[in-house]
Amino acid sequence: MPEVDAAPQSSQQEMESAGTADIVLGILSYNNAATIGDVIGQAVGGLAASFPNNRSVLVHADGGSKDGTADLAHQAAHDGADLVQVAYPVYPVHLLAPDYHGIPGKGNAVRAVFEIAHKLGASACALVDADIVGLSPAWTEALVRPLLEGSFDLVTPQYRRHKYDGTVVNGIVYPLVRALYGKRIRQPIGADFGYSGKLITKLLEPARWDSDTTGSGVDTWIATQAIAGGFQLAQAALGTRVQHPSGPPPQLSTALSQVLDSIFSEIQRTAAVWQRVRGSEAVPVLGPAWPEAPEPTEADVQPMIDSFRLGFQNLRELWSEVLPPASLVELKKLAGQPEAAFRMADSLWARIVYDFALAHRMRIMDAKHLLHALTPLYMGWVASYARAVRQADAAEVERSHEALCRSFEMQKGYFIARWRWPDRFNP
Amino acid sequence: MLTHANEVLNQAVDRMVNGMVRFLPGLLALLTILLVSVLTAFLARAVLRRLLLRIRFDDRVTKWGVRELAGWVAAPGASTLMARLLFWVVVLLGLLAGVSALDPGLTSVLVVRLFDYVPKVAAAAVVLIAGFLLARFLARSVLISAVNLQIQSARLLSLGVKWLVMVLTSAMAMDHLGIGGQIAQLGFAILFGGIVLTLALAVGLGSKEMVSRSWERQADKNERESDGTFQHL
Repeated sequence: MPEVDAAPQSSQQEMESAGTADIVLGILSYNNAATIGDVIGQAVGGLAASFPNNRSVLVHADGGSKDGTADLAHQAAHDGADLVQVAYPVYPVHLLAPDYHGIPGKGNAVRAVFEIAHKLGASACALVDADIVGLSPAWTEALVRPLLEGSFDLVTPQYRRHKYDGTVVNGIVYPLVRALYGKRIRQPIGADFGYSGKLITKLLEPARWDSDTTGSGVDTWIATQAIAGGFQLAQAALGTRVQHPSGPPPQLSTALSQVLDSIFSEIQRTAAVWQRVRGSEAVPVLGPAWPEAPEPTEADVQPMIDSFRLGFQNLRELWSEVLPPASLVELKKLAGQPEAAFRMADSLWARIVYDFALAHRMRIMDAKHLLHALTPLYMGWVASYARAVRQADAAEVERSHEALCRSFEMQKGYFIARWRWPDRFNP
Repeated sequence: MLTHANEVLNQAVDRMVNGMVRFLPGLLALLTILLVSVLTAFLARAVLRRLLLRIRFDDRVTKWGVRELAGWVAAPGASTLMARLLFWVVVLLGLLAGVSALDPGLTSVLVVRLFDYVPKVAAAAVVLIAGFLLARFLARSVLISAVNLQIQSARLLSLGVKWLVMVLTSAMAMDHLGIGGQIAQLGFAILFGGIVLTLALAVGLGSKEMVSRSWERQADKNERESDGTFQHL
């Protein structure tokens, strides 16, 4: 269990005295003293204003903050909603290799909140991270109302992001989840989700969650469980998410490795599900239509092209264990191109991601080596994408994302064939 | 006098003939056993080679990375190497059996010494294999990390780590086998100390400016990349 600050953790008796609730709002934190007070204040205000006739309980799950986050949360909630503070298991491994989203052992935190929501008989449960700057009260409404009134079971966030924001999500996670599971969820991983009581009951069926779901892979697991279980999905347009840094961000290759490890593991676990899915369908987006995000500053792609070239020079032999010769030939051509002509085809990028997913399943090499070795290829794709959308407006950027997703969908046959017959010669 | 000399001569010839009579069957047995053992060794080598080829031993060894690490040894292939090893083991056993036909005492001494040495050889082999696997893992880790940190000499760093672990492993294996005595340890200490000293001098004195310029370039590059334009997650 984490070493939590002196703030009292709610006792079993206190929790039982909370009785029942319609809405549970879970707040996950780790060293978020700068923002926790505001997040709780806004959340309480939002719930009171939007759902005056429903009983709400706030559940605060802290990963053992050292900066007084737990105390501040207690103080912030003192004159408002009921607050249940919960401790959840955080093991040294979670602290030694912190997850990219900043909550150590996030899966355990999510489960702790779910268990309380289940005990309280809540119909809706929203989860937000405590690192948001300027959380709008509208967020809680956007995440909760579709669950209470719209018969939806999982509400995922949709943020207002500029074209260079969220390239891992737009370039890998969204196209992969869309192509494999057939649902167009723009943000299947991250923070700020809503869950129905029905979905929580289903998710709590396993007595214990395994190591894939107790860490950063919990979002992917929940999304795939909801899709495979035929639950109703919706997306909430939340606007811009500004994150307060609670520590130095992890290296890109580490974050990428964590994200892909959880997705690739889930792909293995649900092979029987995604192989039956064809095409993809839209998931309704609820909430206001936000104006376009402000145009970002001009991107310098040369360092990313250099990263790709350095990777090609040094990791080519390692990539040849994962990628077929045809892909390697295309990469060789790409490495020799000048910046002005640097363009990685969407189909090539889709096949690369699929080949790495297959190598992860086949355990061709150590999983960390494999996933970290993808970083230079990802940099190559980002450079190519950034060049392609340099002058593009929001509609053109969206068309570019759509084209990439269609490539992932078209290459799915290639992935299924390799998945079923991995030893067959692949030129 | 002549009679006495004749007797001595006859006795000497008798002793020589007796000696030869006692020695020749043993020699014949040695040659026979050696011939049989060589034939058995050829047979065993062929059988083992076929068996290893059938189970694609070479491919497996390549996947484990042993071949890559042992690339500096002019080995024709793992299965051929194993087959050759078995050949010489059988021939050696045949030779010991043959020598025992010649002189049982000598063989028992040889066998005792040989079997005394076998655990050391086994331990050294385990150390070598573990070291080679570790060297490969660490070399790959360093290579990937260095590439992701955009260090231009990533391959050089990776090779350095690989050879450092392999030299350390070899020194440990030689120590187990009792080869070289203190020389192997001293050699390793000198080599390792030399590398550390070289690096210290390079960073501290000799290439101070070059190293600082290189770090500045790296810091500048990292700064350009994390200028906030791209938010990957």
